[in-house]
Amino acid sequence: MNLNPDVPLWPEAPFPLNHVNATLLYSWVVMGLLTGLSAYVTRDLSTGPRMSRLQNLLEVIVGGVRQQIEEITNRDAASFLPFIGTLFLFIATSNLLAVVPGFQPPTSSLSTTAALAACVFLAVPIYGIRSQGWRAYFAQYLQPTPLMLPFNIIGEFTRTLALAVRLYGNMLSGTVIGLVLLIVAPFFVPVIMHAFGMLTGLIQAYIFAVLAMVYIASGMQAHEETAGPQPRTAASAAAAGEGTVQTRSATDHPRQTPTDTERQE
Amino acid sequence: MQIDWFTFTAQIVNFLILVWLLKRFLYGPILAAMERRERSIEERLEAARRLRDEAERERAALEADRAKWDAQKAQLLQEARQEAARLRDRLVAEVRADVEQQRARWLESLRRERETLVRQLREVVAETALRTAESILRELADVSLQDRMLQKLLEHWRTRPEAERSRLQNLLRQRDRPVVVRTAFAVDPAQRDEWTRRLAEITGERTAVEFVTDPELVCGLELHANGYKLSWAVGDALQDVRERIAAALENVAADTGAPARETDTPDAEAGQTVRSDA
Repeated sequence: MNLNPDVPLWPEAPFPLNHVNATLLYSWVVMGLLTGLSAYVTRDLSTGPRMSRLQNLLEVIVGGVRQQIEEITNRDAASFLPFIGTLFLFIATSNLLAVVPGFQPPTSSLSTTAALAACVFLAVPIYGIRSQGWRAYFAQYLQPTPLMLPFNIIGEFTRTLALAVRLYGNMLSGTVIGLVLLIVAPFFVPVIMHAFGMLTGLIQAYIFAVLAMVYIASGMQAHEETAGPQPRTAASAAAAGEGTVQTRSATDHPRQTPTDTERQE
Repeated sequence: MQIDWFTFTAQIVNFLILVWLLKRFLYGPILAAMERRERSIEERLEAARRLRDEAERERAALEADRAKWDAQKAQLLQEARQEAARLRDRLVAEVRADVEQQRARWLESLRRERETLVRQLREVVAETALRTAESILRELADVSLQDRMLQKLLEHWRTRPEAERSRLQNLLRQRDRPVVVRTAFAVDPAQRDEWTRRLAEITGERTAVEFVTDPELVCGLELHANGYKLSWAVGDALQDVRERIAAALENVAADTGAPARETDTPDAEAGQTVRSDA
């Protein structure tokens, strides 16, 4: 069994088919599934109290994502929803489909996770600059002192790397452990491992989306007095075992609420 | 653990395409649908709130109306009761008055009837008694009885009060007109002196006495002088008897339910009357 899904499927084929590998193929499958299902359900949407089950499912998912985003950012979710929601849906669908025999999740390829992390890496300054302008955005790299500039830049890259590797490692480990267990105990135990795989897959998708949101939000909120990150952000990050994020959120953006000010006085 | 840069790039493109596709096919329509639904729910809630408020207002108005009607009804009922009570009282009073009037009329007619009856009875009885007594007395009466009558008249004269006696004596003695003595039977000339002498007690010495016979007296004696009359007559006594019988019958009638009437019973001692003819 090939653990690397990036190996081209048809090396002899002409360009670009000779570069097509399992990662791309199954990515397209996932994309096709998501788009097809969405188009199928949304072609006939009900606005009344009665609706189809699939519409209800999609509404629950979209509504849940939107609510999470609003709780984290404290602002309207409309501009983040397509990006964060698609991250979550793509990763979650890929991870869940891992239970299908023969399906190789695109997220178990470092190329995919790196691509997604790169998207987040780019999205942070894009959202930040759009929100507060060039100067304000880049000024935050000089906070709290200009001496911190290199560390802030390193932080940007390392967290992106961590984002990519975390997802890749989790998904690959699932595949690897599955393989090992197949050798040790070929019956029943892999089924349980698949169940665990679904759970961790969903959790990883959630973590990836939430972290992306936190990064984007922190990039937008650097100089905003009123809208600090919610305590829930730190809690979510802590639940995800991301100590560095929690520290960063707490140190970079101390909340100066009127209550705190009064207490200090 | 290596990155295939072609795959890396392709995945970035794929991801961006997926973002666009899902935005086009999922988020946009779903969010729009959700928003429309929320708006419609909001509208329905608003409409329901409006309806409820309206119903509440309506209910309050109806409640007030009903209270007003209840009060009105109670008042009308009360008035009707009072009116009925008044009407009943009036009718009862009218009926009572009517009955009373009828009863009075009836009693009046009864009384009149009885009075008529009593009068007739009285007349019949009195007449009968009078005739019987008269016929008996006519048979018994004679001169010697007249003598006794004179004696009786004198006795009564003496029993009269002194003042009256002297007043009468003055009246009789002052005039020179004769005193007329009327009797049912003629007085003997021989007896006339004797009578004149005995009457002198009343008339005095000077007065002339004239004797007249009047059978109508049945049996009695009358002294006429100066328009005054002093008499002792059975006719008077019989008249007395008649009145007594009438009174007794009256009493009987009264006892049977007629309104009691004061009846003056004449003196049982009949026969002695003083009348003024003037």
